[in-house]
Amino acid sequence: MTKDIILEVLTELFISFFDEDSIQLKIDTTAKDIEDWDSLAQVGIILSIEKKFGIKLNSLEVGKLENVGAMIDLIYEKKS
Amino acid sequence: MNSNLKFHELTKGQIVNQVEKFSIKDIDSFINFSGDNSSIHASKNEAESKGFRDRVIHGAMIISKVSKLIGTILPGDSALLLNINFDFKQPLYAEDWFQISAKIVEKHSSVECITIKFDIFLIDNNIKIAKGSALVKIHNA
Repeated sequence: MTKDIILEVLTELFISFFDEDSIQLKIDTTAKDIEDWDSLAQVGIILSIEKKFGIKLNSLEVGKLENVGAMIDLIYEKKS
Repeated sequence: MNSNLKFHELTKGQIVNQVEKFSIKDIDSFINFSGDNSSIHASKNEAESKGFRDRVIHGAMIISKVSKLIGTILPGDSALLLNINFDFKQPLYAEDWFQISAKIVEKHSSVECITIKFDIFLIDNNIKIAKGSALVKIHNA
């Protein structure tokens, strides 16, 4: 799975999670760019990522995620 | 005194059981503060005319006891309820003793949450009245 495909899948996941068709993720997208992306939404997003990509993350890894690019790198690493 | 379990103190497979019962007064109190005076809850005659043997306990009242279990026992004060889903299978009536069986089916270490599965059944005959699940954040982890 390439990082471009991970970005596409993540975008679909975010659109579904926030029920907002206009979301267009970029590698520098952060929680500040999406209105409802707060700490509770982050919990749901992480659980959705684990389910969608079939991976397990830990709290240290999740705590370091500063933007979508970091998410993509972590998913890519876990899937490699 | 409430539990206050930390994430590392919780175990996949851990089970907690709680026995409960509602009274007619409880139904009336719930109708007063929720405003849900639907006839199957508020009127014995109306409930009987629809095939029930008495006034039916509101599903939300049953969930209130699930909330009690989460907020006081599993995990207790450390709980922050994020999601809850329930299916109601059979009616529950006042003075019926019922048991809520709660089992941790998943620990999500990435976000320090647990998924708890619930089975709720009548003590007398083991008939299942509801089942569901909840996602709970452990906020003192």
